Amino acid sequence: MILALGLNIVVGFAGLLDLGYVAFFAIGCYVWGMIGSTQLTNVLNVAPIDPHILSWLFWPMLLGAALVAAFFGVILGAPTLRLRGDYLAIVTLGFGEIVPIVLLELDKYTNGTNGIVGVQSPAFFGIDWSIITPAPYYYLILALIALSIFANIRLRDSRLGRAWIAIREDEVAAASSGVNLVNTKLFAFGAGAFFSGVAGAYYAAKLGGASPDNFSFNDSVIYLAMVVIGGIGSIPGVIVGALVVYSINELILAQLDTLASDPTNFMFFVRSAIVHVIPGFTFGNIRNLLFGIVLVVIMIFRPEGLIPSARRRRELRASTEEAPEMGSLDVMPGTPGFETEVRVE
Amino acid sequence: MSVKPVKLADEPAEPVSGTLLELSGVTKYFGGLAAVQDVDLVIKPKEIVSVIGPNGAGKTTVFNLITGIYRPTSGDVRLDGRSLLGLNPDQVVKRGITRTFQNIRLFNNMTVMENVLVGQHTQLKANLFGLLFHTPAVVHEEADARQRAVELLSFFGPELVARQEEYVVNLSYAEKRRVEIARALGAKPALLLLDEPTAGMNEVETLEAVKYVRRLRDELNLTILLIEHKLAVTMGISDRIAVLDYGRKIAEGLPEEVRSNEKVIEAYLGKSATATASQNEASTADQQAIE
Repeated sequence: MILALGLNIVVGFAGLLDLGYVAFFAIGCYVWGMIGSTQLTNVLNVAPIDPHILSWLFWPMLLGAALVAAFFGVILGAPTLRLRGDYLAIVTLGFGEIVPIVLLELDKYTNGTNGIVGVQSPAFFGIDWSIITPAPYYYLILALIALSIFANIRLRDSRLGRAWIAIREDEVAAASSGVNLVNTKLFAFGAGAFFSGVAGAYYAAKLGGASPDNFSFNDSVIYLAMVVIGGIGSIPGVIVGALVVYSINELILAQLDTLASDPTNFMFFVRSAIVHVIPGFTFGNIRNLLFGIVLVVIMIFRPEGLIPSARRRRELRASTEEAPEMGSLDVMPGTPGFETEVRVE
Repeated sequence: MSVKPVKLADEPAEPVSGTLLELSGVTKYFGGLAAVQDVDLVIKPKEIVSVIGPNGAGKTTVFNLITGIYRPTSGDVRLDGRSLLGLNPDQVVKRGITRTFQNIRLFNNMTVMENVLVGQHTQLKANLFGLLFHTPAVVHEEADARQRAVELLSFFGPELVARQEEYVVNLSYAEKRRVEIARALGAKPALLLLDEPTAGMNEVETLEAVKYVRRLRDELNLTILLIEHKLAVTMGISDRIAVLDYGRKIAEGLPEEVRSNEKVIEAYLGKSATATASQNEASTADQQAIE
């Protein structure tokens, strides 16, 4: 959800389509992965840090990972932000592919395919953070989400947020109103990457490790789907979108086979009916198809998202009534359906 | 090639001195095509200067060259004696030049208020820390900005103030023009560039527009450079007029001088047109424009 909120800054506010957002997540994840385990000290050939101290380092490094991710966001942004719309999407897509591959191939530093193991959990006074007790992690992520929402709202309602939306609306007019295009866009990229770095560090701590195959293009698309399904540019929408997309994908669809193996459940009959026609059928086989269909259906009935921002709702309604000129980025409501179809194949 | 710029014998109400904006030998090529060629123009403080000319004469290109959207191929643009060359549009805004666009470029999916607030972007100083933690300075600044936005809107009467929370797409054409000017005023400019401020307006709205362009100069001490297609409007409000044709300045001077200038008539009406016809047309329209 933090990821979706961060991506919302880039896509929803500033209108920059980023298809490689997961790269920043991976970077954040590896930052804490390297520092929070014996990996970095091994690589540097220095004495390992006492695990107790290391655990406390999680807190500053949460910020550190975010800053590193933001830094890479700016690095990626600097040369590419001259590009618009589709071109930017392709470059970010490439970046999203490159980062996991780099992490994979730099095996001297990152252990390659094995990933990093033994990452320390955070430490906090008198709380047991062992992997078996999920409660502390739950409260930690709640707190992080709350902070992200707070920061998002503050950003949106500031002069910076206005400048982002102005750029999305009309770059030339924004520049002629005194908005520095390059800095403002870079800031959107940096801010988006920042949140994804926070999420990455949390993820590494929660899993106790980091592995390069946790970050695929699919994940980037899922996060984008969260933003689009929820309502581009709308903070409550994105929160709901993240919940809905996550629960459809990971809870409902993943549980279908379990449900179907229970003879008292309705799904049992559905499956046995289908098995008559297609032998060897399981819901797991068509999970991605179902997921895609659900997303497409949502987009057909709520093209502006579940909880659209007032801006977006107005814009889409106007586009059906008056059909004003649209830039390449404004066509975005069409792409989520497209995205999900791509995913299904 | 061009008529010698005429010295103004009688200046407008307040005596002005010095030069605010100076274009010298400004040339812009698009590929092999000279969109603007060797244009000189001097604008003094508190003047209203019009740039006129047939379609495709390079008027809007001149605006884009001044505001940094294009870079001139050669020549120099100076504001208060300092060159604007190589500055980005946002830096030009900081120097004190803002503009409106020929085909209104408002942020359509933002409210009237938000549009005007974006216009004040350069005036606001809030940094990241301030806006995340709402330091008193930032809260104060934001409130001030809103207050100022209301003031700017009220310049055009109470209607826009009442509609400040509305999305600009819902406004009428003339109202959008006003919001665009209000947005341009947000950056506290010294020089305001208006690109066809009355385009697409009916007579009543045009008259209204002429009035507030004058008030912008008189009440807000602005210098105004405008592009205008309606000759009547130009003649009515300009202190001086520069005429462009095929990217070259073919005339400059007081409205009466420009009106009777043969090259101008030729550019507008073609070689065979009679001078009297155009003069009649211009003077009747002129009277309409001057209230």
